[in-house]
Amino acid sequence: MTPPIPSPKGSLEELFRHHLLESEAAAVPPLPHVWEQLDNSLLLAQNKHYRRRLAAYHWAMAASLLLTVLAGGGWWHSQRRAQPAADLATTNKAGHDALATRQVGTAWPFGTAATAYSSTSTAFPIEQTLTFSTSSFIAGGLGRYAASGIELADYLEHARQQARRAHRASVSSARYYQAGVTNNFALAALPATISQLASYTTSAPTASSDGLTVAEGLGAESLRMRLAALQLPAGKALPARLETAEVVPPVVHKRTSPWQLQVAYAGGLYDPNIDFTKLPGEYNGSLGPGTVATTREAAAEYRHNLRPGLGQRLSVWATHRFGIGRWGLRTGLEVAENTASSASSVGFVGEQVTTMNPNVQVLSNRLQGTTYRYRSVSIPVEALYTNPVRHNFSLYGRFGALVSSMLQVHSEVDGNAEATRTYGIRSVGSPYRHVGASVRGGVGMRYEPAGRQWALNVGPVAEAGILSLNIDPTQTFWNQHRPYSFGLEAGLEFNSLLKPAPLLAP
Amino acid sequence: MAPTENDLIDGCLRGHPVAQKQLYEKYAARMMAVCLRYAQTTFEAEDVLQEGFLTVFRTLGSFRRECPLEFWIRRIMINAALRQHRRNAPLVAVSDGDYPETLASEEFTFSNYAYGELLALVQELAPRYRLVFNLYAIEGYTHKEIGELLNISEGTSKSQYSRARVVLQTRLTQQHALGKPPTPGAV
Repeated sequence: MTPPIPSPKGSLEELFRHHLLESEAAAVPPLPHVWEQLDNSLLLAQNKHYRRRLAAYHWAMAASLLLTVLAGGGWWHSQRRAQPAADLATTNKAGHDALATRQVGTAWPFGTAATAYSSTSTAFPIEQTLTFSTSSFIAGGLGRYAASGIELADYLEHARQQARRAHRASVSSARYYQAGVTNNFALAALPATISQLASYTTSAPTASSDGLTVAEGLGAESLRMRLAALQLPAGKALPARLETAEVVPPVVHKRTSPWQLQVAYAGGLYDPNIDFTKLPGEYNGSLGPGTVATTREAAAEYRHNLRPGLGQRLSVWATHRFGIGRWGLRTGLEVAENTASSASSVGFVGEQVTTMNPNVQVLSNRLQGTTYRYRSVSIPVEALYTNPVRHNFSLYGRFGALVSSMLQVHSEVDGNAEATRTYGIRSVGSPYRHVGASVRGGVGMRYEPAGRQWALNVGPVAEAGILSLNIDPTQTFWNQHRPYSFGLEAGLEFNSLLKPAPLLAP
Repeated sequence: MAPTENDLIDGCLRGHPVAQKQLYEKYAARMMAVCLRYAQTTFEAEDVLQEGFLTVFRTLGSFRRECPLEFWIRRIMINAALRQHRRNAPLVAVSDGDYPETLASEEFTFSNYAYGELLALVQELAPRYRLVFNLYAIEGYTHKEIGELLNISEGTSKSQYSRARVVLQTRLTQQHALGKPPTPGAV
């Protein structure tokens, strides 16, 4: 018979260790409701993550939409303004050509012009060899006559003389309509000279006393179509007398000084986009046995929870315009205050964490929120494009770079005043760069009243850092994480040095 | 074929609910036993367990796979228990009771005591005594490390452990002197 195996014995610690540790293998699982609650919490956490990502997508979409609307509105507006200006330019150019060349060689245009304004004229004989200015003068109508500022009688006389000298026009046949005679406007409103001319032309179908003939030309059809487009609606009549209308061609105001002053404010979203993670060998191991692992995990927590904040900027610009002012180069001074937030379980603010137990990982779902505030001053340089010809609304574009100096970085940890840090320009051991560089660009709408004493620019602006915000990133230059921001900027430009120049002489 | 530990980790990182449940079911019982040691009641242990697993799923990406996953999860549970202690410590009234200052070491026969009885004794300890006793006697931390964890001095850790030990030994002796049968598991 074998002796009974003695039961093991030990100290108090060994007793508890024996029973408590060994019973873990045979432990009863928790009740089902524990998993249900856990599953629900996981789902909520996942949704929160997706909502944050969705919010970022919404911001990007809104910014793109705003940019598209601004660009489209500016293009549409420029197209609308371009159409009447083009017509006016064409008409005035024709009128100026006519005056300059004085090649209206026949009196016929006036008679036929009068008839052209009747409602029924369709055939309009034009001598091909007649100058362009003649046909365009006819097509332009009385408005263009008004723009020329020349008395009609004098014009007719000069035209006769030109025709005689040139012997260029020949009238083989003339087709015209008597309808113009019955048009109240056509004869009654014009000076007597025209009346006489009209009656003369209608009674002389083949030749005039001037020896001028009018033959059908190749441009007749197109001219008819243009005249048809100019006909007055039925029942309408032009006023008895027409006031001389001044046609002011667009002129570019000459600038007495190429410099302009601008004050601008920008607000938007700022993301420092910092990654404080380093390689283990880059940490100071003398700060504690667990410091390296703890700091790396805290840096990962910080980056995972980093959220962009409000960025604001106030700037003063001096712009130098080149030539007529379409392009400009500007520089100035700006001050900025940007914010961001993050969270970590040890109140990580960028410095290496000290005095932590190496055996316990810092992993917690009770994070300590941290807020960051960055204040900087910068000197930007930008190229600016505007449209100096247009009044009121127009588009502008800008692109440039800036060098900034970080004046202060202030970080606060919720509920832990001891963890508050403020780094200045002269702070030693600051994890942030003292000098940084960025590129910036933007487009927008510009409003400039007729007097051009001031202008307002509003539009989106985006900025991206060339260098990272932290002083010693472990990544290579192209893999570093750089700060960025995008938002809206509004600027007020003062053109007090600009004086309107007199109209360019025709 | 049952998924391997790496399969479970990869599945959880991708956010698969099935993988998450499988990982929970694999380690929930053991971790519940750990949490019961640190908590005063079963409800408190369930809270610690839930908080710990939330942390596990949230930070699983930082697990380097250099040690068994169970070891990593156990550390998370202990941290969760410590946070629970910090939250509840001001609310728990501590009464040391009437115990001698020191006691001579005694030898205990393991078979005379049951798991449930010992667990109940640990849960009845004052919170800070329970923490120090678990960390020193069960988990194997040094008093210096316990001091850093609980933000107390090494001397305080030693005195609190000594106090916990006296209480436990006294209670054990009293129960067996009264002929009290071993109690079933406390779960």
